[in-house]
Amino acid sequence: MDRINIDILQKIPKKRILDRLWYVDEIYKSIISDLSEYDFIMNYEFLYLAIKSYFYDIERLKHFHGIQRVEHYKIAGYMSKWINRMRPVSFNIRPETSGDTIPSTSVSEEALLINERLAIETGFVISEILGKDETEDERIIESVLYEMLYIFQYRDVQADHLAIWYKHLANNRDGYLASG
Amino acid sequence: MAQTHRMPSREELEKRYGRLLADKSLNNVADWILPNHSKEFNEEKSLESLPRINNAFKKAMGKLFNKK
Repeated sequence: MDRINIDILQKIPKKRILDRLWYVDEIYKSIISDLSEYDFIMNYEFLYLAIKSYFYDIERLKHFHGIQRVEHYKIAGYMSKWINRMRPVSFNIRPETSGDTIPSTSVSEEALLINERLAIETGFVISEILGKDETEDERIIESVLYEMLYIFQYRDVQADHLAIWYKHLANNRDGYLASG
Repeated sequence: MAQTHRMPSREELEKRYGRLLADKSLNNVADWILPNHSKEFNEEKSLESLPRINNAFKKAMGKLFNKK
């Protein structure tokens, strides 16, 4: 298998990858903390692939534009895209059965959408999309959550479009609250 | 009879299309780049907003899927 250009590889020190692994892992742990009816499994290999792919995208972008740093909404858009593409989280339903039968317990929508939620919530945290208070935080998320989950599940997610969307959400809070 | 395509000479190409190479506005758009961002992304600092955002997501997901 051919390897990536060494110049790009050298721009991504191991520490940057480790920091970002920890970062997404913290968000993941927060998300699953109240979904105790499932055994969620983070596949760290797929998460690693998502993060390394993110850095390759961003380094190419920075190289093209001749810049050292991209704005945080771009980071959010590209991180969301790669988490959603690699889908690193899976789960088992409790109680786990042995043999060749699957568990009789039906699964919840929240569990099925765990990767989409991780991708979107990571984008929100990076973009610091917050309202004036906690009630507003919730209303902002409510105003877009259904469509975002749908798009992340069934459509092609474009990192640059997501970056604009996150920027808009972070800076035009009042518009989303009014339309809700 | 099949038509043949013969590349014109460099001089002929310059005559036909040379203006485009020298057009300032055209090249400004073609060479457009994004600006450098001033703030370094800091993972630890960024996570300060996680508790609020996560809490809001939990509530919104609960409402969306009618979780009791």
